Amino acid sequence: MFEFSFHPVLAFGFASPWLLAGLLAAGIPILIHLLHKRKFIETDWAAMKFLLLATKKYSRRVRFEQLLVLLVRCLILLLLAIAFSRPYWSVQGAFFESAAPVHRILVIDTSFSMRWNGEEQSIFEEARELARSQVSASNPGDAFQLIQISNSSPQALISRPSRQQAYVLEEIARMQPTAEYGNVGQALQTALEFLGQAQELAQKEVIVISDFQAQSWAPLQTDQESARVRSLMEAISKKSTLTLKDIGLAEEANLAVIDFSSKSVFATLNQPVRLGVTLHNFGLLNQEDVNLQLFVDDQLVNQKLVKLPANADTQTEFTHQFTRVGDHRLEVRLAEDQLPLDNRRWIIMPVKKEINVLLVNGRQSGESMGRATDYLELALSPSLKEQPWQGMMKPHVISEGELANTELSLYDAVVICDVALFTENERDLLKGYVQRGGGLIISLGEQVNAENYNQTLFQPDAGLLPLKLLNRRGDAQKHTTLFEFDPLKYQHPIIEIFKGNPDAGLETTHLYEYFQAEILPDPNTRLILNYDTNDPAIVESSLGRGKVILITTSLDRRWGTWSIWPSFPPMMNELVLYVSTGKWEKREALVGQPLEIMALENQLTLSPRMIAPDQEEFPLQSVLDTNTETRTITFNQTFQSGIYELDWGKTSSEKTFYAVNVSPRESDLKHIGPQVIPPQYFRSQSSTPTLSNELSADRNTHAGLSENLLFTVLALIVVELLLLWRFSVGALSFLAVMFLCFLSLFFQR
Amino acid sequence: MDDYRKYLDPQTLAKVQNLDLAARQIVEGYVSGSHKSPFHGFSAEFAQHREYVIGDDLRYVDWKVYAKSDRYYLKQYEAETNFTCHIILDCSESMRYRSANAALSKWEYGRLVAAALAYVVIKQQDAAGLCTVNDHVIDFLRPSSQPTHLKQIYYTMEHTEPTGESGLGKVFHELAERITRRSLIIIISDLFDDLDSVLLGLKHFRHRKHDVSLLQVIDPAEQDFPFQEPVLFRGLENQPEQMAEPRSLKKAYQAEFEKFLKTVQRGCRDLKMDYALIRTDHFLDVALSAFLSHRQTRVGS
Repeated sequence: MFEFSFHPVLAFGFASPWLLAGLLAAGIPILIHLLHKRKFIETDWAAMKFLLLATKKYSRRVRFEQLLVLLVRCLILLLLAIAFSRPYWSVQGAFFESAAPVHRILVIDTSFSMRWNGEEQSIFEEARELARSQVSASNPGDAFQLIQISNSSPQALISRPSRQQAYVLEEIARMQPTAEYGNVGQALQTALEFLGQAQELAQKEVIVISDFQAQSWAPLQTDQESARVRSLMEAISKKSTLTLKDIGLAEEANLAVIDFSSKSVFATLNQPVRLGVTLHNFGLLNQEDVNLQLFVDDQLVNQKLVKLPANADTQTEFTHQFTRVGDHRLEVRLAEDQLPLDNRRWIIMPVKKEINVLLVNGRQSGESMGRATDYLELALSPSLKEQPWQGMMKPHVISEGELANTELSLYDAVVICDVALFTENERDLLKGYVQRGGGLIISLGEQVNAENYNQTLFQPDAGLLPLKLLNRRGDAQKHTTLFEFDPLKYQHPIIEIFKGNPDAGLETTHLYEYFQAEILPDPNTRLILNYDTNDPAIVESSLGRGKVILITTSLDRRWGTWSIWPSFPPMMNELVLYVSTGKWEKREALVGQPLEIMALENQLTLSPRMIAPDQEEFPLQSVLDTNTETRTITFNQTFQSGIYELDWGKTSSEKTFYAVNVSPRESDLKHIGPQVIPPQYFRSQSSTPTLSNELSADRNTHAGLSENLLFTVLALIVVELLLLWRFSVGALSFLAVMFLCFLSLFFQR
Repeated sequence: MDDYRKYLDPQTLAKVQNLDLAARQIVEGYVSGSHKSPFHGFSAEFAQHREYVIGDDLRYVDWKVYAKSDRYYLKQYEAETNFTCHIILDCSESMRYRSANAALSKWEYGRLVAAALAYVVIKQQDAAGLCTVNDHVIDFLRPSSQPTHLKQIYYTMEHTEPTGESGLGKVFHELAERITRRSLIIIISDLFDDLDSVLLGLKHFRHRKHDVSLLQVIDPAEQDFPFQEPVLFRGLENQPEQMAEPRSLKKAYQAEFEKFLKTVQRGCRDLKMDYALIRTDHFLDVALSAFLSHRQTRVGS
């Protein structure tokens, strides 16, 4: 199949072989003839002598005449069927390429590496030009299908074989390079499926025009994917002629920003935030003094010169302090090169003034520091009379009775302290709050009714945490047993700050009493801290978008000395910060990935619209229509990189920003090696003009043959009439028609 | 259509069972149209007077007698009294043929013609005889001018069925020997026989100085060959069956048939005989006049 030097001397075939079924029609005259013979009438006859004489004398001639008329009638139908089947022939080669109408599937790479700008035009323009020439040089009967190698954009551009050249050319002209990486496996799979269409066209050709980037065609990190690409190419080549047109670059340098991030999900006013940038030089030469700029809200705020060693990652950092509350658009921009798309990267940094924490006090007391929340409040907001606390944490204490009447959505986190009982209504309120991204910390104490907790907060399937409270262990009154924390090798990020810092006193915290708990198996639940008795001390779980943390001991002095120990304030701050991140939705995505948008209570009835970086607007479905429970909207049309603005439609201040970045996979322009794809699949572009010459020559053969046959059919219809009118004239004209037919076929060849 | 002509339509005559009635219809229909009798004697020697009957030629009315007696009398001549007519009717099986569109078979048609001629002859008091034949003589009624003889002729024809093969040549020889007196011999046949022997037989008649008239009766289908679909032809008179494709064979058949008719015609001309071709779809006056008018011009001359 891939031996292109193979040249048949004479090849014959049909463009529409299914129409050859019409050949059966040639049997119709014979059938009529036979049926006609079977049906006869009987009669007595006196003048038998003359009949016998006539029969004897003329029967041979009559039979000859009949046979000739029958032959002509059969020929008429036979040639008609053949003419409609559009026969073609080809002499001296070039049969497979061009002689017959071909089902051609054009697969064009539109991944963003195709945006690489050459001296005159981008390689995508080059690919488009090549595709256009393929279509223009095709036969009128050829059918085309068009596939683009993209990822999330629809790959099938012409999913039904089209014989209209103009339409195919129009579709090619309309193609644009995407900002996505090329999912080669998926595109080849589509091509393989398309080969099943247009069964009437026996000749199939798949032409792939791509830069054959190694990352897409033979991803090193996934052998499975590259094996899939190879097996798909093999499968396609079994069913068709696979031609790969390589318009890629040998080795071209490219600089890219491959990561831009911050460890904090949000920033606070006037606090410096560290922004990490990872750059990569994909070329073979070191790059000195490349300008890297940081833009905040489209304003250049910082820049530096970086050295980019060849073929290596370079880490660098910017520090920025925000002076305004709200969403900020951050962009790093590397000096432009020939593939500028991957030289910019964006993130969104929400800046908050304060974090509101609701503390639910379960134990009232007239004493100083007697309430269950007093130590916690102090730990979060250590205000002194002479110097009010300026930190971002803003705790607000309420009694347990007020919980049901409090608007929880105003708070970033809720901490429950030693509350005796919960009603199911309160449980549902808390659950809804957590599901929508709220953070909840439950701490226990001597008032806690374990049975009630197990039936409400921890009720299997309906509760907030998949665990069961058991008995209290230890005796806080008598201090019989002393318990300490087991940090479990500091694996959890919350307690990571205590690692290598024994003075912080996490492991020396003394506790006298706690609730034993049995954690039910659940993939979302993990331990943060244990007691030295191996019972769980702090357990974390997620519910919807939010997080829930259970502390199995109390946060005051009743059950231990933790609340006055040095480990308490940082631990509480970390816990509150950790659970409150659930309210901060993820604002970044890669091109093609969906954006999850969370709506607030007061935004539910609005009709928001998303404005893409090119200012195209996408109205979003109202939250009420989609998912009232989680209040999320999914936006899928992230086809470009840059900043997406979500306009809630009320006031301009209510805009929310999202950042969409390109996948770093396409930045590596390394070309695929011949060891991955056998070289016979590749055909040099220089063969294209020859191909078009062959095409134009063969087009005539193809069209002329059918016409010739149709003319012969017409002539035979006249011959048939002549035969019936006067046999000798008819017979002579039959001979003449046959002679002319063969003569014209001979010259046509 | 004139009134009298309806009696000459084969379609009408096919409904008339009585041969006597049919013959009268034909003759009266025909004669009232022509007013001429073609049968006249061979001599100009006066013999006697006879009373005028309708149809007699006014040329022979004796106007002197009319002047004296106020009655119409004809002058009769010597030979006229000796006028005898033999009608030879072919009743071989081939005469039985009747095509789908014909009202009468050749036999029935020929029989009507024979009856009409006999009627005419006997009505003018000449002698008419009948001879039915196939390959032999079936009935031979001697000529007589008695009106009762006419009944005898009708009876014979009514009770004869066309069967057997024809052997006209042999029969003609036999009859030529049997009929000694010089007579008018009218032959009604399709002549589907060996033509050479037939012509020889006819020659024999001529040799005996008989005045021979040949009325060849054919079915229209035999001449036109109107078949379209394939036909299995079952031969009469022991001829074999033949499957044929009529459309392709038509021309060849017609050529053969026309050739046969032409041969007959030429034979008759050579023998100086009267000849008329009668198709069974023709009106009987057409058939009769084709024969009689021709005869009249000959006799007149």
